[in-house]
Order: sequence, then C-alpha cells, then structure tokens
Amino acid sequence: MRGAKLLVNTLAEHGVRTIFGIPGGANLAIYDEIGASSITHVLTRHEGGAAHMADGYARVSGRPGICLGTSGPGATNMITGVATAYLDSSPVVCLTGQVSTKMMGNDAFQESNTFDMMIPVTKSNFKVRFPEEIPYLVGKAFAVAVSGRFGPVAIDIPSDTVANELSGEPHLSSTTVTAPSDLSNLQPAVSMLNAAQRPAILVGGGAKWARCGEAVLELAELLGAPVVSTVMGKGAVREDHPLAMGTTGMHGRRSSALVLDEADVVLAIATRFSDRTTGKTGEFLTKTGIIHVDIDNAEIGKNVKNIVGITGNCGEIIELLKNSVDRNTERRTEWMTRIMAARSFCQCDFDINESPLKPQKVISQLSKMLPDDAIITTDVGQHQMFAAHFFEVRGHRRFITSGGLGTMGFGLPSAIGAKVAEPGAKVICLTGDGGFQMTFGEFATAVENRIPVFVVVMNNASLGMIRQFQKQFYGNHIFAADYGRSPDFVKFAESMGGEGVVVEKAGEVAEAIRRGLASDVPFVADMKLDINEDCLPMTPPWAGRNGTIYGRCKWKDVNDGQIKNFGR
Amino acid sequence: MTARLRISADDQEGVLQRVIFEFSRRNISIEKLIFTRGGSPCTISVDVMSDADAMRVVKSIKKIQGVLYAEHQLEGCEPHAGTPQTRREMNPQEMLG
Repeated sequence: MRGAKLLVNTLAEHGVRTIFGIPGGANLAIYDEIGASSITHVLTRHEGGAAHMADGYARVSGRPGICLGTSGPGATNMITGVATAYLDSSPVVCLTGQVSTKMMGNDAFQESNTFDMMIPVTKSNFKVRFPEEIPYLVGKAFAVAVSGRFGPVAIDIPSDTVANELSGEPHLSSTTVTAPSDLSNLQPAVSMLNAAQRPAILVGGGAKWARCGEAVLELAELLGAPVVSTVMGKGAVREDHPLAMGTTGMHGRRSSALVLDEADVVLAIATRFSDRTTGKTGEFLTKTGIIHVDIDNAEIGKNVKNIVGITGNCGEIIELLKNSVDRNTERRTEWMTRIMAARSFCQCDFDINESPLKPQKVISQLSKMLPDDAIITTDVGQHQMFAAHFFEVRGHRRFITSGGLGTMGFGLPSAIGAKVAEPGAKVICLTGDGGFQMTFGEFATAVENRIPVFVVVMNNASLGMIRQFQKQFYGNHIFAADYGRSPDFVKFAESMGGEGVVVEKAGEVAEAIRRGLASDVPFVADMKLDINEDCLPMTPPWAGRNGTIYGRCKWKDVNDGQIKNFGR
Repeated sequence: MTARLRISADDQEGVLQRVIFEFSRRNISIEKLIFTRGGSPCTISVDVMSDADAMRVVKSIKKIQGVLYAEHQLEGCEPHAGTPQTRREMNPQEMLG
C-alpha cells in the first residue's frame, strides 16, 4: 500500500466524509486516492476558501473540518483561513502537500517552509517524515484539534511520503489528549454567586463549542442573572429568553453594558475578554467580582486581572454550579425588575422604511423571516456588527462569524461549509460588497456542488466600517474606502448558474428574502444600501460609556438620572 | 536584572519554534536561550528582561502541545512584579485596529 492510500483510509476511519481543497503537483497522489474513496471532495476556487469552508463545517458539526492544498502557494493561501480558525478556536485539520523530502531546502518549485509558517496559527502541527507514521500523526492531529480548547492542526505531507509504498508496518495511534482542569476555586465561586446582590453572566464563544447554552440559561434562572453575550458568544443562548440581553462591546447594546456596569458579581463563561468586548479596560468591571470559567488556563487572568478562575469544560462547570448555588431570585427581585426594564427599553423598532434602503431594515426582515433552525454566517464589517446588535438568534438558530481575526471573505465559504455540514438547514451568508468580492469565486463552487446558500450582499458601494472610522476618527478624510465600480452581482450569480435579485427599496426586501430562502440554487440578494448609514451605537475603545456615539439609538435621549430610575 | 523560564518538553519538531513564537507574539525580547536535547524530554531555558515578562508568557508556554513543564524561576524576582503589565497607554487611533 502506498502512503496516500493509507492517509485517505485513515481519514475515513476518523469519520471524514468531505474534504475541501485544490489539487497541485505535490498532493496529486492524495487526490488519486480520494477519487477512489468514499470521501466527497469539494473543489474550491482558492485554498483560502477551502480553509474557511472547513471552518464553517467544523463550527456547525462540532467535528473537525478538513482542507487540503498543495505545497507553496496552496499552503500560503490557506494560512489566513487557518489563522481565522485559530483565533476562533475552530477544529480545522489542514493538510498541505510538500515537495519531496529529497528536495526540501533547495528552493524547489512550489516549495515553502509550510511547517514553520503554520506554527503561529495552529494549535499544533506535524510534518510527515515517512509513510508509516501517517496513521499516528493523523490520529494525533484529530485528538489535539478537539481536545481542551479546540483549534486547528496542520499536517505537512512531502510528496514522496504519499507516493511511495510503505516499507514497514504502519504506526498506529491511540492518542488521547487531556486538558487539565482546576476546580479549586469552585467553592469560592459558589459563595460569591450566593452572596451577590446583582449577579450577571457574560458568555463567550467557548460556550458555543461546549453546546451549553441551555444550561447557562438554567443557571441564569436560578440566580436571577441576566446573560450578556460577546460577539463570538452570540448564539450560545437563545435571545428570545427574557434574561438574554444581547451583545456587549464596541457595537453592543446599551442595556448589556448597563447590566455589566451595575453587576456586583459577573460570571464570565468561556470568553477571552477581547479588546472589542472590554473597550477601555480601566473602566471595565473595575468594582465587580469576576469569576472566569475557561477551558484554557492561559486565558484566566490574561486580559482581566483579579479574578476567581476555574479551569475546565464550561458545560461541566455550569452543571456543577447549577447543583451548588442557591435559588435566590426572591432576594433579587429589584435587580430583575431593573434588568427587565432595561431589556424592554432596548427592544427598539429598527424596521426602518426609509429611502435609500437602510441596513437595519434588512436585518429586521431577516430576523423576522428566517426559520428557527437557520444558520447565518457573516463577513466582517458594518453588516457584521449590525447583525450582532440587531439580529435575534432565537430557537436553534446559529450565528457564525469571524470575531477574532476579523477576516473579510469568511462569510461565503464558511456558509458553504456550514451547508455541507447540515444540508437540511437554511444557510444565509450575510456579507458586504467588500467581503463578498474577496472570495466570491466560491459562488461557482456552491453552484457546481449544488450547495444552495443564500447570499445577502449588504451593498453600500464601500468598505463601510473603514468609511465610518474615517468619518468619525480621521476628520472625515474618506480615502480608499469607496468602490468606484463593482460587478453587477446578480448578473455575476446568473453567469455561474445561480440566481439573484437587486433590492433598492424597503418594500422589496421581504420578497427578496422569500425568494432566496426558496431557491434551490445559490442565490444573491444585492441590497443597495445607504452609503451614509453608520453602524451605531458605537463605543470607541478609548472613550468609555460616556463616549458612546448613539446615532439613531434612543438611549441617546436618556440621561443618567433616568437610567438610575430604570425599573424603580 | 533578567528573569528565567525553565521548560521541559517532548523532543518533537516544532516545540522550540513554538516556545520562541510565544515570546515574539507578545513583543518580549529573548535575552538568552539555551536548548538542550539529549533524548526526550529536551530542556529550554529562556532569559527575558523582567519577571513581569516571564509571568505574562509562562501559562501560554505550558499549553503548547509537547511542553511537559514550564516554570518561572523566582530567584532575583523584582519587587512588586505580581501584576504583569499588558497594556501601555495607546493613542486613540492606535486602538481602532
């Protein structure tokens, strides 16, 4: 048996059903075997798209997503996608071809030092030295990817190790990787929560990986604690629950910020306290007792100090907390009344029927019309923050976004990966005209492979967030933010075998969404938006709460005295 | 005065690079590094400028796949080094990205 067959057999044994990738000279032996196997292959238009697809697949299925590229440019093209997975703790297994071990170091054609380049963007990575170790390395890669804090793993595979026959017995693996836990602070945490007058829960992206949203809500109900989400945590808990306050951070809800400001104890679950969440760190939870639960011990105390840290799987720790804390809602009636008042005030009507078309209108209509098990992926920019702020993740809806690396171009390929993972769900890619154009070649991949994703292009003919920052923080010096010309996205879609519609008026949005959801081919809704509508409210990272730019947000008319009287 | 980290790790390809990258991604200068391999495990000794720098990085080094053990040696510890400095003052535009 040659190494390539052993590799493909091993992948199949690990449950791999789909590989996203592009062939090249250094990985053709692997492709030769994939073609003869039961594994489905999705031929992407760019290796970066393959990595994002594997990422989207992993985020929906909870299992490793597999991408495969060739050596040199194939590998370097995948680095952004792998880095995206790394920052968002997604278990991608990235396979790269490599020149033959006899050629390595000679600057051979399509040679790059993939092993070293992958180190900073992976949880671990391996280089195959001889074919017999393939099963061992693949087993280890899968074990590392889904142990502890999930993350991407790369395997660099020189062409001779897969093209050649095995000369000995394969090295088999029974690798298990255990993540250390530290529950020594569990009892102090329980005491803090029981003594709290105004407890709150901050939930981050790790809670989605742990699938512990319902347990978080049950704990919140026991405590009488509101639940605030980071952008990465959005979707961990269903937002139609009365204790779910929505997102916090730079573009978060004022009601969420209020809850965190006033809480005397915050239980932070699986969040790394990113700068986009904390804003001005000198003003973030300075007088609050913080309990930080995270599977990654290195996150505890990294960005926020003076915390009570518990290391371990957050789903298991929440169950322990649920069984240990007192039901104390009666003592916290005043707090809960105040929470409800703030939450209720924040349920604004953003179904804006103005002309030119406003992004809020599109988000509002999507929020109303998408099924309760829909998967929405976003790109990066204004539309992402509009969705994080306004879109309601209720029922079993999923919200998938690049919150860590902030990778434009993530939306469409991750939607394709998500649809492959869950073909029965409606998958909507919410993207901007800038992000869409970074990876829109993958629309052809979707058509060719009959993966009917619905792409909503929030088209304001500019890099909207850049434009907004230049307006707000660079003296209105707009430069290199507006597109003088972009493709006709509907004709583009049609040219590839998809369908589409242009939307220019508020009254046309619902019909476009209805068509997009019903389409059995990939579909583009080109929403022509008002270029001047900024994504607000926004709290610049240096400004603190008093520096929030509110725009249309009705909190702008509420003074401190009124806020003090909320719910009283 | 420098501070020292002592690390023990499986002798597998990439461990040394990962350790070095943990310093460089935090903008911490390595003053001296000694890598000793004599079978598995290998040992890595890293000197950095301050205890605060060492404390910033030690937990991240511990979680590198293959690292078995990492500790910050406390001899010569600077006074009041308990609160690692992670942020200096930044101008507003710097904080946008």
